[in-house]
Amino acid sequence: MAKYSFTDKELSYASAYVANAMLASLPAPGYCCHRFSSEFERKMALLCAKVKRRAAVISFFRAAAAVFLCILIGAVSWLAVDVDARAAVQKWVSEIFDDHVVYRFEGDADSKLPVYEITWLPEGFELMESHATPTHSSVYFSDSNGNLLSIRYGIMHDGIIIEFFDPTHENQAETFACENVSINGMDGKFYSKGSGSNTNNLIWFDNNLGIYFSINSSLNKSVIMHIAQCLELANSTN
Amino acid sequence: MLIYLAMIEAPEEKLKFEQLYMRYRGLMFHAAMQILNNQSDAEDAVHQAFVSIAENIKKISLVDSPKTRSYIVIITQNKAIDIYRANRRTAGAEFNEELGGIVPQMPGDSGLTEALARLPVRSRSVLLLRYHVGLGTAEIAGLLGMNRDAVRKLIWRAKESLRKLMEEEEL
Repeated sequence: MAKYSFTDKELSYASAYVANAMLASLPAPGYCCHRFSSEFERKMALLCAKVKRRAAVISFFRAAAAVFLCILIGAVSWLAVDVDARAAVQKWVSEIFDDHVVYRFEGDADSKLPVYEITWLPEGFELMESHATPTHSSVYFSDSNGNLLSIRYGIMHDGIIIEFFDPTHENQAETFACENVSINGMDGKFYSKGSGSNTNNLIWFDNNLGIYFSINSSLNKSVIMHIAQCLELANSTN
Repeated sequence: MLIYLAMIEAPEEKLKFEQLYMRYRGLMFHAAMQILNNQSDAEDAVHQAFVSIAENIKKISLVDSPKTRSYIVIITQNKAIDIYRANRRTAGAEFNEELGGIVPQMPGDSGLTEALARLPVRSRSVLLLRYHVGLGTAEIAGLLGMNRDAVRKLIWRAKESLRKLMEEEEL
């Protein structure tokens, strides 16, 4: 190796050495005393509040994601017992076993995820996070009053395995009330928050495009339904 | 019949950020003052560094570790450099690329180590973030407000600068 060359490993060791020496040239954190200005304290208070809100959003939506999974399971078990519902969305279900369902899309699926636009939101909601993959898209909003909102849609692709959700299970029956709804002609289910939850959940399916949608929020049903009805197809592919 | 509920990790991130703020804000101010020598600008650098830290809070595992301290000081130094550049541009003066920031005292036992310590702040920072903190190009780009190509070029140029320093100084 040439005299003045080095490997990544050598650079790693040197970096660790320099980083530690850099820290050694500074006082220990406990000895760095500075009285920050009121303007700095104000800006940091706003930032800390934003971080707290984002954390609350993530907590909420992780719980809502679990609820959403339960609802997908519930939707499938609903399909298992409701012949008319199964007929309406038969593209989605192919096999129901004792303890789980293979939730399949049957027929020619459009493998590209369409793009949808949210054309209406209640005032004051800010975008907190968004995630997109080739098969799934989700956005998360919150407002200054602590109201939270997530909107998701995705391709119901072959091979999703979901565990059963038993709507007659005593804990679950006490948590949600469930009613059939229609969103722009598409069938769906609205699960209202019960005493143990602060989340309303809406799920609906576009059988023509092979897409599921969900909205999870602490907002009331009429607002959630309006947001759902204002979700519009932007273009045909992502 | 089973329902699985996801563990909620987010409140830990909220707590982590507050702990980082209380523990390191003084150190960060000190690090920023080394470059800016102005309290108001140094506070701005600290605030901007915390904005970056909040956006990348997942990168930090332990609040109190040398790696976390290095990471935080490096971010603060780079935000201080950005403010320094903006101020110099406003004043119509050229930016001094040789600004060393915190100059670690090296024992001179290793040519590579000494050369690395002598690099300008920006070049040294990307190498430390890459080879000590272990961040990828995309992560470094996000932290420093650069695009990935710029980070790759900066890493390459920093390595070339190291070789040149080692050759010139016969380290």
